Amino acid sequence: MCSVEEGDTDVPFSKSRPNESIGRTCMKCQEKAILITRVNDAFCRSCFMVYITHKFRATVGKTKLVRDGEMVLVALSGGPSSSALLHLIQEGLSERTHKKLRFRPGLIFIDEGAAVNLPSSERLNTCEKMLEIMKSTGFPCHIKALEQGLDNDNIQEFSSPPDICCPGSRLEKELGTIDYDTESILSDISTATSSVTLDMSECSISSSIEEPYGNSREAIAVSSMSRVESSFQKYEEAEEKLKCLLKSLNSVSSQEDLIRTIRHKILSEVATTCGYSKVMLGSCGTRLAVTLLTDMAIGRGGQAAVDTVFADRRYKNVMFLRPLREFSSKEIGMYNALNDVESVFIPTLTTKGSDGASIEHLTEAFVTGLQRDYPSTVSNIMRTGEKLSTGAEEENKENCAMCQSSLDTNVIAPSALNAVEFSQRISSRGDNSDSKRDHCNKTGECCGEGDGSCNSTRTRATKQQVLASLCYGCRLAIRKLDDVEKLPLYVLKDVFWRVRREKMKSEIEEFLLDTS
Amino acid sequence: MSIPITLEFSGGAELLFDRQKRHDIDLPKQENPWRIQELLPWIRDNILKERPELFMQGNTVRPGILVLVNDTDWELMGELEYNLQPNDRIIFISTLHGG
Repeated sequence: MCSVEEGDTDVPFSKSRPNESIGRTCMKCQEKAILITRVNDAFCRSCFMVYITHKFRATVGKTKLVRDGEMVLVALSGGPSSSALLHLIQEGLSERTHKKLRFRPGLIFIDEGAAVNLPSSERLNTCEKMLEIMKSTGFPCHIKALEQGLDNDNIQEFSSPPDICCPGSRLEKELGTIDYDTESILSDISTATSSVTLDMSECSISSSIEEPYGNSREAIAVSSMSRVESSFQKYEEAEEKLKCLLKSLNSVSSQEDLIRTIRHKILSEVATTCGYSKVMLGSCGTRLAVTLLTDMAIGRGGQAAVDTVFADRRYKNVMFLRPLREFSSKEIGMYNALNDVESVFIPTLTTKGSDGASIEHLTEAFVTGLQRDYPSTVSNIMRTGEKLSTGAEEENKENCAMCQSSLDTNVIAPSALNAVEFSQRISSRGDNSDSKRDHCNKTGECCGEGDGSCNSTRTRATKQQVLASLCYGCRLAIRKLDDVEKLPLYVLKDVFWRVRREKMKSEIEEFLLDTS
Repeated sequence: MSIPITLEFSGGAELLFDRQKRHDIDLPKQENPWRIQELLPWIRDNILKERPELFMQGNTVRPGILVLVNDTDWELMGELEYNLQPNDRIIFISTLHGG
């Protein structure tokens, strides 16, 4: 079976000549086919719809993870895949479906306009379009901006316990975030026009709230008006901070990576705060195949499995699901075209870029190029990826402060990681980074958490301290960062927590009983 | 006689065409029948605004761009060999991340 002589008959199955496919009939009902999904599978319109719906429900259903009445946050990017996901969920929940889906969806859109330097008018436009789409579904909806992942107050708001019993305050919180966000978009607009656009944003807020929550919106509108002023300043700062952070990273690949990390952080925080136990992502199979290979290339090989598996359990209280992982981007595109599913185009960092703009972009060109000639490329990559184990988390309790994956840096001495660190140490010997560190330790201020004996100040971190709490992939991503203070606050907090723990551990070490 | 057809670009492909999604065009008369093979260079030379390499690669569309002829996968219509008929609707959908 595995003999070498047989090798030359094992040529990958290349696509059949175009004219062989002309006038093919559906493989199920012999009607006129409208598309070929895989090498030999031609479908007519109705069989294709059945096939897609069944595949979606089978993916969600066979793991039995989503329970009846469970609240699930559906992450929308505006792109084709997540739009298709929303459409499939709506279809699945509608009365005419044979077996209804039974979970309760909520929608979220994260505006990443700041990361690609979109003009504020365009961001407002995008948000309005997304709000309209989300509103029309009747599900509860949230809008966040990427820079909120950096902001101090937001994180505090995030981490406060969800206030489910009191619908009023929850509504206000909801409104607060939406309002907060539209405000950020407005912040760039000159003061002369701001009042006009402000009215517009108020309209969109109230209408979005109207559907899921009913009345009592007027009172909220008044309270949100007063908050506008104070949030104005804060928002501009956060946006600047995000731009500054992205600018100081050395490559587009790192920027993409960081955006992905912050996006996931926001999703998990919103889910925790608002009582969702699952988050559904719209990544399709083609996209995940690209992610898998990209992960290998950017030093996230250890996370390649959790990044592409159906149920990602990386975050503490929230599970990320990828119900579209069995779909190719072609099937998604076709589904959207046939059902008139509206998607909003939002440019990314590599839009209109050349193939080599980033590692991810290059990988995508590679995978889609292969896929054209060998239509089983994507499914091959995915099947191979499934064989990777995701079970290492149980033994290793330490997580990366940034991306929450289990730390892959606790390795034996002869490793690539140590080799890289060694050569970095050699090449930066002239650097006086040690003296900097001493300076930081001298400060007598306290973090305020505890009895004041920790002697650490929360406002200063050394790069070494930060790097020690990160996984290899995140270390690479921020390698060229000049000032770690630019990192999102949640990362710095986590780092300080770890540093204090470590310090405390060493202080009490001699009093501990030896367990070994 | 010229052939009227409709072209649609979406999923980010419209960025290369002045952000205009729908184009109603008349293909000029020519001796041989118009095939997609001839249509693609015509699009590139006449309505494409920038970055031709992001739309075409070699003599066909860039991988990752889905082509539908009257709501049917072009693979079933003979791809480049398809003879265009009057009032055909050709849709180009970019399935690439970020268009």
